[in-house]
Amino acid sequence: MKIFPRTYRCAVLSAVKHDYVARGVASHPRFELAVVADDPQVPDWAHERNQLLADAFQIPYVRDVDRALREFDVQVAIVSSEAERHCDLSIRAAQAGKHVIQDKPLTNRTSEADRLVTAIEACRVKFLMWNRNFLPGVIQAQQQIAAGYIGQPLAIHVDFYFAKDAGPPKGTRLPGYPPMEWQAFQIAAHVDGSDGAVGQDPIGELSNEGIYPLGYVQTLVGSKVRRVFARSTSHFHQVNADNHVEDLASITLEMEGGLIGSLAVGRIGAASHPSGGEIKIHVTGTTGALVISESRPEVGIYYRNQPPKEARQRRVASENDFLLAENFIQAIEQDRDTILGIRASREIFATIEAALKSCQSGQPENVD
Amino acid sequence: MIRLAVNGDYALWQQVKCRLREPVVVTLFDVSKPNPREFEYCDAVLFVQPIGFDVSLEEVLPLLNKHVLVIAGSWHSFDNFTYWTDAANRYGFPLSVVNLDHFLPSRQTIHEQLRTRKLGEPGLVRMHRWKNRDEETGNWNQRYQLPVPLVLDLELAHWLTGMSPNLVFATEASGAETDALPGRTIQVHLGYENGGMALIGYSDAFPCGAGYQSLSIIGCSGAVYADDHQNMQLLYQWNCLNALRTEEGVRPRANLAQVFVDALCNDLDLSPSVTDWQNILKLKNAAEKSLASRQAVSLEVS
Repeated sequence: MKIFPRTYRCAVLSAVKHDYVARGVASHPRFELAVVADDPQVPDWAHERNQLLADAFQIPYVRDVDRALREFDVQVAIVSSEAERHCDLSIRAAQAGKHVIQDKPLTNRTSEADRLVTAIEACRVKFLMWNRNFLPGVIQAQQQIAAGYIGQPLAIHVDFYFAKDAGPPKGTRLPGYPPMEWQAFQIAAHVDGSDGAVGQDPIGELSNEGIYPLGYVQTLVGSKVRRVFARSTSHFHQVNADNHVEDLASITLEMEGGLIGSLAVGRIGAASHPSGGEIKIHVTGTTGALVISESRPEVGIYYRNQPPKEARQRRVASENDFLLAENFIQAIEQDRDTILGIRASREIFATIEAALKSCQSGQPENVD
Repeated sequence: MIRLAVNGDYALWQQVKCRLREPVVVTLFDVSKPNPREFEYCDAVLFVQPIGFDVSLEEVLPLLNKHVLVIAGSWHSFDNFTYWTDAANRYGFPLSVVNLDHFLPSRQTIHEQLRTRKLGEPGLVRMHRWKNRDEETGNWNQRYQLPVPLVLDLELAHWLTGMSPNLVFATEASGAETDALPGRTIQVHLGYENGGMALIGYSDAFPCGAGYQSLSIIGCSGAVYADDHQNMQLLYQWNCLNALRTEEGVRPRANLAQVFVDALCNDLDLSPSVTDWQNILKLKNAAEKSLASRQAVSLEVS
């Protein structure tokens, strides 16, 4: 009989993008962060962010990924680096025999995605793409569909808007000024939380956030996306316009079994919603339909001198972090797939790639 | 004093009449048995309810010589549009065709925000319209034809944004189970020259219920969300919980009638509405071509 540890020790392999994944995992009593690690050659700002997380958890920061994986008795690696390094770090962890929890997006290169799939499966470790599928509203939707209350799903539509700014609005760059540099902007914007996908390669909102709404589609209707038609634009933010990446996108989905669907995804500016953004799921079926607000349950909070950026409707009772971590444990101990495993993540990546291709071609594209 | 000949629910028109700023006399006519004398002393005619092609208005139309306003939502197919525009050309009466949704207080509020540029340039229009299959569905259950309510939403998107799409892609749920259903589930995806986009979804596959609508528009400096989900009240009955939509009441018809009466009093030309509809029909045709070919179809921006 296989014996599993009471507590899973985790190596955080870079926390330069977000530390919320590591913090989310650590919120589960059966996980503990043992070490933060990164490669020695990463820039100083990356070392600084890694050190901050290490200090917050009073654990070592090691500038040697392979040593951290080898010497700190860890079973799990948590990867939250720049998107272009995600797969490389995850593959190194898998090859060291560690289970992997990775931040989104999967990657920004098809070859890297395929390399990761091969590594995870060859090394027989578990993989979880961090996601939002255990938010109360999503669980509720899944329960209603599973219970058959709307019959067979016919269509699913997800609106996924982040009402956040990303620097100056589009159209504000003065004549003669150079285009905004992506990475420099993202590093600077980290201070007030308005940063997006940090990294050398600019990444649009569909590539960065598409995992979430497509994760809902996958968990709620379970149908593979076969073909997409998409439109995208940089509509709001100068940094997106200057770097030719979208901050607003829409996708039509054609799925197996004749289902159809759509996504609307965008980082639509702080002025566009008082509580961080409208996130909605619509599912129609043969005998009924569902309209789900992803943010519920929530509490309305309003007071004099309230900071403008503070959400008026506060989400409550979310156990997303705990349930994701719990799901990961069950996957390890019962040898089953996670809620968003490597194959499902690869399918989502392929859907987004096909959508981006469709934006260029102006025609529907098959999902490979 | 304006004299309107109308069809439809008399009690409703009495409610509308008392909300108008100008004194208005409303005469009700029966669309199935139109009597030329009913139109003799009126200043304008409103066709609110559908007319069937089995009903002949041929005796009446040559005598109208009045401004005629037709509500597009009452149609069973867009053959009605051709019928009315041909008749208007043949007999020379001024014709206006309107989408009643323009006069919903919620849509007027949204239009005003867009018109005053509070939301900035529109980037994304998102609509859902679900109907139950008990509602009269007309003859739009034909493959590759867009249902009339979906075309009305295309028109609504055009009216709200003031933009014409240059690309359209339409798709429909299909499959053994879906094909056995009497209803349809369709969506239309539009692209605009400014990079903007619209996703307009429609379903009449529901066996029962009150239907559902939502409309959101994301502009570069703000957004609007009009969603039946936000406007539901709760009714508890023993162990059963129901959601009740708070409707916008008689106000849409009153708003429509007021605009029409104002136009009559001030001799305003409402005819551009017909040209707008002709452009919407081109979009409808392109969407139907896309449905049939499963490819995106380009459009000339008008």
